[in-house]
Amino acid sequence: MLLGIHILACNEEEVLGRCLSSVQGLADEMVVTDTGSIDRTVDIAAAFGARVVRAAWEDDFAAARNAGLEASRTIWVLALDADEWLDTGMDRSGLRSLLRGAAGDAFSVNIANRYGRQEGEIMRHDAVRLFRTDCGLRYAGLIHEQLVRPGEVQHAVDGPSSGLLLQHDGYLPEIMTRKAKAERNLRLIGKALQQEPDHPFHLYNKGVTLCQLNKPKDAAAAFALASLFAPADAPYRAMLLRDRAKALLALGDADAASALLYREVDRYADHPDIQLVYGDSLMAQRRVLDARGAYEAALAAGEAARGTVSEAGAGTYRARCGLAAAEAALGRGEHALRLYAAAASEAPRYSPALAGWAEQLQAAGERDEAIAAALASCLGEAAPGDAALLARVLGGIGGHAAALPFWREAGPLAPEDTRAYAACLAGAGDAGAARALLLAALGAREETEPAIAPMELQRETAVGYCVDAALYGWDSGQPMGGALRERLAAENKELLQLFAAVERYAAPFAALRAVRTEGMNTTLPGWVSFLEFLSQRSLELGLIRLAGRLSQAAPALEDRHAALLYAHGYAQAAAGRLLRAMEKRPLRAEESFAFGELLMLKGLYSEALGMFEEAAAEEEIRTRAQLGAAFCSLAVAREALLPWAGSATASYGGGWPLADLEQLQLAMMQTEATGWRTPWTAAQRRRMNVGE
Amino acid sequence: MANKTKLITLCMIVKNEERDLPRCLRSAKGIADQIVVVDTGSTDGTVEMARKFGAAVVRSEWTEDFAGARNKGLVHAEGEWILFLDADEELDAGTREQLRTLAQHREITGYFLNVWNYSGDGGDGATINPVLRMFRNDRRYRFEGRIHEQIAAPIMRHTPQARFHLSDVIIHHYGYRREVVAAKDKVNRNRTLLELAIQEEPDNRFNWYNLGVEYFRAGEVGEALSAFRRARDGIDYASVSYAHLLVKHETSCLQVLRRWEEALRSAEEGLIWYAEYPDLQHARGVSLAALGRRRQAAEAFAAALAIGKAPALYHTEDGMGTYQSAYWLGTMHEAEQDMETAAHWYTEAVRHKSSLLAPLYRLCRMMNVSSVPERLAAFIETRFTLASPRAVDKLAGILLDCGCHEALRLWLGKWAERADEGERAVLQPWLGLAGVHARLAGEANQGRAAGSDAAFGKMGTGTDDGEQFVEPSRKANAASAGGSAGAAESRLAGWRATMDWLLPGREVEAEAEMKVETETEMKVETEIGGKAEARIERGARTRRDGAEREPEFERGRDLETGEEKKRKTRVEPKAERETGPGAETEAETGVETEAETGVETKVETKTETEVETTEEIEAVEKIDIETDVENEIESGMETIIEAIVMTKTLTETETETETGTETTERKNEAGVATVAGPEPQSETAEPVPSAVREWLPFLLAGGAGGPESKQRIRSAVGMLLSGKPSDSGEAGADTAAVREGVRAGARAVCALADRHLAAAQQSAKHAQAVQSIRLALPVRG
Repeated sequence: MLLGIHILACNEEEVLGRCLSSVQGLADEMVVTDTGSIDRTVDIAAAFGARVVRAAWEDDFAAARNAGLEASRTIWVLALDADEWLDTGMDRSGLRSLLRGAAGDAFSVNIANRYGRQEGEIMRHDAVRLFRTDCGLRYAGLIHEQLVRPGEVQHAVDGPSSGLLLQHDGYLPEIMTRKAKAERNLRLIGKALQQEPDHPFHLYNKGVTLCQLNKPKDAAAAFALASLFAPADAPYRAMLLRDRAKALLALGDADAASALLYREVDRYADHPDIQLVYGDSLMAQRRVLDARGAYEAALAAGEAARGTVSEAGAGTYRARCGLAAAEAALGRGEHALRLYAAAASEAPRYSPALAGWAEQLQAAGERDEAIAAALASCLGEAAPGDAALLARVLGGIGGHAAALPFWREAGPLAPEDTRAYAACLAGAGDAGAARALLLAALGAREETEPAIAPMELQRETAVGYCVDAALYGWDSGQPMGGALRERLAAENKELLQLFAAVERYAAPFAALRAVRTEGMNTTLPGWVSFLEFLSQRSLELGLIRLAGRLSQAAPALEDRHAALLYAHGYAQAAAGRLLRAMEKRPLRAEESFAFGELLMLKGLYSEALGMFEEAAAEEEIRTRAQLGAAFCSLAVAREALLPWAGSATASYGGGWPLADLEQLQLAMMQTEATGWRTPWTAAQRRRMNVGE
Repeated sequence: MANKTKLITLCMIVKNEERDLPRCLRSAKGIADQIVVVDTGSTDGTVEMARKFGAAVVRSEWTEDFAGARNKGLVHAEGEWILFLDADEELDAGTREQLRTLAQHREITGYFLNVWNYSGDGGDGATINPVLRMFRNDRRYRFEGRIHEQIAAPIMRHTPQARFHLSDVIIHHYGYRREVVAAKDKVNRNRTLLELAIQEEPDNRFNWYNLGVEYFRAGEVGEALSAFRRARDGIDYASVSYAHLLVKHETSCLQVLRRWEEALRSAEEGLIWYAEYPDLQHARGVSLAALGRRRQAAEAFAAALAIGKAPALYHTEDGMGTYQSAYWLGTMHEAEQDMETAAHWYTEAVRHKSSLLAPLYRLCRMMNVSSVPERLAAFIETRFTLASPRAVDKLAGILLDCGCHEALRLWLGKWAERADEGERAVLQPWLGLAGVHARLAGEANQGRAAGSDAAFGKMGTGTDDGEQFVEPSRKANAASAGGSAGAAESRLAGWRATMDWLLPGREVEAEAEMKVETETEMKVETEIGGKAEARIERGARTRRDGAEREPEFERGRDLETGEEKKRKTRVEPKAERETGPGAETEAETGVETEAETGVETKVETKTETEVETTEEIEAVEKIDIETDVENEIESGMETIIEAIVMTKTLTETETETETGTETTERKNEAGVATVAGPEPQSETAEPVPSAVREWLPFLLAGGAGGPESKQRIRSAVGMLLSGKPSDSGEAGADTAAVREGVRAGARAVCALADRHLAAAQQSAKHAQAVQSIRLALPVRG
């Protein structure tokens, strides 16, 4: 017989059917090696006409696979995992003739590993899975077993591409967690490492597994060790490099990541993954100009057609988004806009591309409706989840009214989406509706019709809902009300007490009543910080009047309110308060900083310089203030040189001051890209001219 | 050719060469047995001069044909060999004798001689171009080409088996500098001739090539490019001797046009044929660097260095494959933040050419930005041998310019241990200066609020570790009394003048001490609650003080003018050096390369003072104080600039700004202590002495002195920066002075930016990014 399908399985009742049905009619026999299932795995195998080989599980993947191979009756074998399936969209008619005419003894297949449910969360890699059984090829390795040739030294088998594509979803986090795969793997790797302590491949896989368990520090250590022993030509070396750099980035050590990659990027010029992560490292170091080059290199490398694991989009839309972010950081909005648009057309449901594109469109002065239309047409044919995706993106840039139709259209919402929906309602001016929506989701029904069905919420989420609902209520002139109080009491009694105090004294819902500070129980634990929290959340939600009123309840808070306003994008409102404050007292460092930025907006660089120098006195904001001072100094120099640019002639030393100006411009761009300015989101930028 | 007793005939064509001809003919004395001069219509004493040297003079009408004129001379040649020179050329005294020996080799048809083209007075380096200049006298060998007449092709045509040799004989060609003056005329003349020639022979690529050269020289780069492309179209690289130059020139054109991708392709295509041509590797590197592909660029420069100097018969530019490539390689590594490798290549550049300044500045700047002073000191210690005190002066000056005062102290400290009494006396002022700089910088490092003026007054007298330095001003006097005026002394004099400007009353000890107290009070006040209000008050005070102090400034200025006089005797350094590394880059990739166009060449190498920093111990002392870079800022410039009315008045800024917030009424308070915020009544503002201007970067960045000094420094910078070009656009002396002021002011604010960045670099999160910004700043070095 020509071809057999071999599957290793243990308790795989959920996925085995998908696997077996995907290969039906392709092979002459199907062999399922069962290592002790206690569910319906064996029954399902039998139902599909597969032969079941039973093997005892001895913590050894290679042994289990080889047991299956021993039972084979075919010349060729295609080895699969139960959580894999053959891609349906491909032509399989040529496979048998390919095998009949094959000169070699092994072929590789391409495997697409889905590690998340979002667009683009796919890693691809090639592996030898299709091979002759009569050439002595067998598996080796307790885990991450590899096909090897017989002989004294075991050589890993390689082969040309068969053109087959396998899908694999075993890396999805929920599946990993449910089956405790990572823990099992770590145990097996530990066993393998006991036999061969320096084995670089095992060490590498240990690192990967530790990453899956969210232990980047241990992972980085394992990768470092693996790097030490991995031969320069190891096929997995590129992956090792990339994963090590990613672990370092996750640890916040961008310097180490970029130093590591700097020596390797030229060698792996055709690996988009490596170039991409190098770009990310440089971005994390805020070396934005250099990052731009790296992303361009990633794009040049393109989608790796063949080779080691490749992250989906590493050579296309991911790199393009990175490039766009770099351009945006350099203040080159037009370039960013074009790049995001290109990335969005490459991967329409890759949300970073959509979000970046929307932000740049908004910055370019597009109306929200036009942005919505552009995004929708980019998505093309509607798919489930599209409406929510669009609503999230539009809400994210502060296009609240434009997002509402999409929120209404979106099906059942996830908890976070509901909160975002409410924020859009309030942002569009209907805080009452926002409150009603949240109350309905909480199941705290009132007189009105519930907007949506009650949800099962985790405790933290529920409290968040309560806070938002109270704030929306106050803003629209309603006290908390019985239903909300009850729910809050059920979640957190202390919190209810604090809320009650706020209602009593600040009466935030009654716009005309003065705030009462007499007799206020300021000894209430966490009183001021609670007020601050509420005031901050109000500003996040765009409820500026409510925030102002809340801050009045505590003098210390009111004194700091200007800085808070500024941090949330209310530049004009903050400026008014800062000016009043300056009459009475010196500005605090963060206030000087904000004032410096305001002066800069008006082009008063030398004045701003003075403010930043003042601000640098404070540890917390020092570095940013120093960068601001540097930026202003450079701007002052540039302004002084600019009038001379017109009169630059060859008669004077090759056209001074053009070269200096060019350098200044570049230095300013780079300084800007360090991200020292107050980082306002697109939504916050809209609030610039909102008064109190 | 009956009389064969004559060995070499020198053939020339001349017109009005009275000035240069004697030098040329003198150099041929004893080499040429016969001199034939074709005069094409001189109106000066050229003919008489030629006869005086025993030349046979042939008078001829000028027929717009160089080859024709030359051939008229050949008819009269009786020697076995024809040597031809131009009047602005000269045979090298050290190698010319070889011609007699070479002339004995009858199996050779022609010799290539090395033409060294100079653009300046000979001290700037040269491009070297091997050219066929001596060939056997044979009536079949006649020149061809109306302009850029050639002899090689006709010889080859008649004697396919001809043998050519490359000799070591050197011809110095000084013509270019003068030609630049007459460039326009000559370019037009050449162009007319070439266009004529092209009409006659549209397919002669050599004419196209030369036309391209003329276009390039005239700055019409686009035209030049098409001419070169026309010349290169369908060329057989193997047989055309100047084909490599075509590729290089085409690449240069593209670089000047900033068409980097094409420039890269052009260089790479050329390298297929001329893999051993360092100029092309270098050009490839420059293009890659401009495209941001620095690591590949580094490989290209490394490849150029691996080749080294161009093999004979390639026309090459000075420094290709040697110091220029090494310098560029250093900058590539620097940009990739690989400082150690960069330091190595900068050192290599200096090793190749010890007079270079740019790599030393880069090296010091880079080390200052990235490293601890000990490392720089140790690096200098181990990698440089300084043979003369002046070399020490040079390096010390650079170190101070780059803010490496600590490294200077460490290095000189070690040096002083081994030095004798006399040497130590020379080092002493530098140590004093290092102390001054350290204190200035220390102000910024330690205090948020400024320190007291007292620190200034006593700055030179001691350091934190208790080491005693001679008080700078007194030391300067002593030094000049001893007659050994050096770079350090002149700096110290400048510092003293600056102090006089900054603290006019400081000689009066009691007064100074009183002031210390008040300043300290002010400082405390500022620290505790001061901030905005305190600053406003300060500003007001300064204004009053400024008015009272008028007479004292006068005195300070007198001193300054004295200093100025001393400097005016010095040669004004080339402007090119001042435009900073960026412009230099430009010049190197474009203009300079451009100039080296085969037949007639010109190089614009920088005016460099010689610094003895080679690794060889036998480094020669060549330093020339007259071209000392230290003086680049002021030399030849007016000391005093006119008071400039602030254009950026408050009213103006008010009207400028409508959006956003209503901060206008507060603005002046905020602006008082800021750089460009001098008092609106700036008609009273006093000019900034040039010695002060030189110190402004250090003063401003140091946040020097008490609030008063600080304010004074800031308004001085602000005033300098407010200088605008005059409307007429005339480059008069006034405009030049204002422009120098703007330059000095910009330098100062850049130094301030650098200081702030250096502080921000302390934050680990930003260290690398900030480091690369600092390295890219337009600061000295």
